[in-house]
Amino acid sequence: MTRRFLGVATLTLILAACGGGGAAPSAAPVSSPASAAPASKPAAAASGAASASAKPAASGAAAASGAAAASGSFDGTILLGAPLSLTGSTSNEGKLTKDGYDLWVDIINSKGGINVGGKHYKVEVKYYDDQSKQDQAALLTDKLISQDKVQFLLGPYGTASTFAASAISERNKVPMVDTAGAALSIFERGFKYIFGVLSPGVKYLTGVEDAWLAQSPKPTKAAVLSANDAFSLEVGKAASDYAKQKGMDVVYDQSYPADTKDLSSALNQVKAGGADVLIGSGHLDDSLVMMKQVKSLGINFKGIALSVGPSTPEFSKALGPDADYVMSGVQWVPEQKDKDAIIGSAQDYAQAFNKKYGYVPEYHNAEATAGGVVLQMAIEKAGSLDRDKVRDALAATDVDTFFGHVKFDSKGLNSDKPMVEIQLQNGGKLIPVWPEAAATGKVQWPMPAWNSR
Amino acid sequence: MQILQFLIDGLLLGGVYAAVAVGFALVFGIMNVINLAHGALIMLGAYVTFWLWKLVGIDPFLSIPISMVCIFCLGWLIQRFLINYVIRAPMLITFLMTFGLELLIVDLALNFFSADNRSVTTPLSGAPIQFAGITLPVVHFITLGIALLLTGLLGLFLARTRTGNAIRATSMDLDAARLVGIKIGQVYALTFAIGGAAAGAAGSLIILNYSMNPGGGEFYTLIGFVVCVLGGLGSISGALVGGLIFGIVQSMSQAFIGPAFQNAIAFGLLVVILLLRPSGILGKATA
Amino acid sequence: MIVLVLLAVPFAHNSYFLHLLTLMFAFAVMAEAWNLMGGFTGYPDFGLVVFFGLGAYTTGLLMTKQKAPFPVAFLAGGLLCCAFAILVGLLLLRLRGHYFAIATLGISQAVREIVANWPSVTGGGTGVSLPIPDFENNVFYYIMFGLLVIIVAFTWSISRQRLGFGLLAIREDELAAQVLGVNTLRYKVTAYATSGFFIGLVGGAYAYWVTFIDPDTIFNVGFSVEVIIMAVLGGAGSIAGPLIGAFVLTGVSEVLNAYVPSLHVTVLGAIIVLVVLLIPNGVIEYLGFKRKFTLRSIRSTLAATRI
Repeated sequence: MTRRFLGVATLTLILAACGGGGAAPSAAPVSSPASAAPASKPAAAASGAASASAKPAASGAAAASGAAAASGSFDGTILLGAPLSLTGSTSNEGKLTKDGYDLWVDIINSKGGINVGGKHYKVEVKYYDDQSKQDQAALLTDKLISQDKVQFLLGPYGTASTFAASAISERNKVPMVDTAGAALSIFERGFKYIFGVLSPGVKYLTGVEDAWLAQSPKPTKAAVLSANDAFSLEVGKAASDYAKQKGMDVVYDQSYPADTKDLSSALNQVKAGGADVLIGSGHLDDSLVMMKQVKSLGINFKGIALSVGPSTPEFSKALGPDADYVMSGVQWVPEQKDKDAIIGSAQDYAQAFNKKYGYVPEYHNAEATAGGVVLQMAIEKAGSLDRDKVRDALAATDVDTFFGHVKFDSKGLNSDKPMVEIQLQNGGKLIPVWPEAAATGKVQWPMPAWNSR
Repeated sequence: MQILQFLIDGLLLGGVYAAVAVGFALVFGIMNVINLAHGALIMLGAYVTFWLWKLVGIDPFLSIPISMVCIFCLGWLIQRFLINYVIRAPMLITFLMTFGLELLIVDLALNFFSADNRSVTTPLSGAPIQFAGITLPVVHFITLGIALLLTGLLGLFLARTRTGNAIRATSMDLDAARLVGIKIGQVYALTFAIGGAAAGAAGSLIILNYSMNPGGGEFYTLIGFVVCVLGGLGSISGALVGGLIFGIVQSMSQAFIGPAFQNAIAFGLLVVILLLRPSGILGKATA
Repeated sequence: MIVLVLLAVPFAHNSYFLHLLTLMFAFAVMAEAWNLMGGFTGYPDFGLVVFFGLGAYTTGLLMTKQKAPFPVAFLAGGLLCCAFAILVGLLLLRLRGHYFAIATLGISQAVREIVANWPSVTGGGTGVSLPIPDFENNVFYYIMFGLLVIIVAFTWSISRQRLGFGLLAIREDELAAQVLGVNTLRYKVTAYATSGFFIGLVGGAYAYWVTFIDPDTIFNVGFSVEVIIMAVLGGAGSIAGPLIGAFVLTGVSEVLNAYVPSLHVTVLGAIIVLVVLLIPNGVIEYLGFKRKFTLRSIRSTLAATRI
């Protein structure tokens, strides 16, 4: 009996190890395709011709370092790791993140790779699927570090997974660039090896409130509804505090359990309180439900802001014209006026991305690519692949990128980067409306009553 | 007046819960099978409505019978070719099997439908009915009506038709039922299929009122389980009453205490009722 | 002998393997603990995750707020769960079968909601962030391994003593057991409290291991279901069945994840369905050479459980 069990157990463990550790066969479908591309690109930079993988019409700097790529030789490879949600509830966002990382890899490899003290290194990213589960994210981060021996880490998708994965990377002293976990709490642990390029959760909706307060008639009473998880609570509380700070009366401020499907009673209470703007901080399904119920209960607001949802295509597809006038905060829009030497401008990025993938990028893609860009800049500044030297270089980052300005504060947070506030207009088009420097349209205010649409 | 509003909100919510629980109650009550895949079937029903709405433009209310038929067939197949083979094993075994099915169905849905949240709207999704200071959302109101109708029809079917009686007979005394010539295998397949049809209808109603994604059904399995026991195991009307009460409790808590505690109160109430009246609100007093 | 091999694993310096095995041991302990109630006593506990979560939160909160050292917080977690189990058990163990199952489920969800909505004490939905352990991961491996050894030994020893027989008697026919003088309430509460104690300890260790806990993950209903599945798959009511189930399920899941990443859950579900059809009494039935896995045995299994 014991022997049989031992046999079965050993067999299972061996299979798991083979599957888990075996880099080549099983990992093939998910690891970066970028490695194949650059080698087959002779003299691309010299002739300036566009090649198979995305080549932005971008920076002149490309020509110089492109010479090395032209010869197709690198002095080595830097292996990066990223646990991503390729399946599970956040699989869409995971895919968006992966596309962002892959584009960065393509771009730099075609330009000669990362310059480490004069030597040119090719970049490869090893991916594992964390199934949108944070304990898997942690397990896989461990695997990437100890088994695959990655040099640095690119972040997973989502606050929960980033939280879990960064605990592992911190323990092993491996720098991780967080591209998709926005909760402040990730950075409140005194960690030294985590750096987040995105604006923190607290900034998501305060910009919308600014936009509203600049309209007339000004809103006076706000209602806040947050889902009960770290990220949503943070966004909701920040919005609520900011509203009070700006002199609004917050008549309703409650949180709801994560899987709540029906907010009718809460919304009826909001209505009874006389709120003229609604702020919802949750996730896509709550956003959909909230919108449907606001309409079906006939509650009219001057403005509605939702933290997550409006920027996803499914939101306007599902709601149709009901989705218009809703506002949200996004980390980046293609129209913004930022640029850098590696990617070019935000518009260049959008073009290059669309060329490679066939769709216009949104902020999930951009923030991922930005993470790669920032890591690259730090490695090049440090002139070394030593983890601690690169960590120090990351901590000292203060650069403009196509994604916005990146400067990490002492906690590793990109605390000064503003969010761009968008509004869905004219049939679900995402129009940046605030701040004015990034706006391409004006805020449509107030929201028309439901029965007059 | 406000209390009345919240009471109505609760009834409307309860209508959805009742629709969810009815199918679960049938399977649980007749065959003693805890169908962990119930939520997955609900999800599939929701998707049938969604795709018909999106691709062919069929009004979601009209697609309810279609989703019922689809899930009916699926349910029949599942029972006839899978569950029937382990039905006499202890309850936890069928539990395990439905668990495996749930994993399978949800993951396939995730792969084929993507993880996106889906919702549908109808021309009726617009202005609510207003009277006496009460707001009554139209779609939600119709949903309650449909849930009541389904429960009523099911009850009538079980009580008044021959097949219905056969189904009830198998739950009362299996051997006696066999002795009078009832083909248990077919009866069970039919029962599960009907439960599936109810799940399909519930799914369509859910995507009309709320939203759905591949993983969204799990929540409703839990609701089904809880409401059934609350209302009294093995009782269809119990599922209805349990659903309405659970909805009202959640709504009232949401309104007066805040959404944060609605589940704590609802589950706390469940435990209290079980301790005071273990057979549930409408259940028969056998342990 | 296997024990020696397993003890030596940390020295192989493969962090991933270590992590995986630690997780397997953790599940194995919980499956064995559930088995005491669900397998031996016949009272299926569907709310076992409440102990996991309470253990995790107790350990986490004591360590962050009271700056308690880990061993103290860890044990406190287990003891709190034990006390909780006794209190709740006295209330709920009067219910039978499905009702007990749902009541425990209800309690676990109610506790989850309370924890999620009491920010001043528990941090609410934001969760608790534990300090980073200053020792190696090996320690967690040994903790889980140790717990597993203890609980298996415990299960084995009680199965040969009064308590074990009493529990089995309760499972088979509670009324008869009472009539024969078995103090059913005391035995049931003992089993429930022990079960809670061990699961609470696993929760406490788990919290420190992953350093971050929040109500939705740590009190997740699906978790209870997974543990029950492992116990039943391996063979509920036996001594080694649950741990085998835990190993097999976790291992198969990992292997599938490596080979068929986008469909691995589908395949896992399909495997479970097949296993249930063909081996409903749990894998252990075949491991003990009690039966041979032939076509004939499959047919007879189906004949026993089908319509």
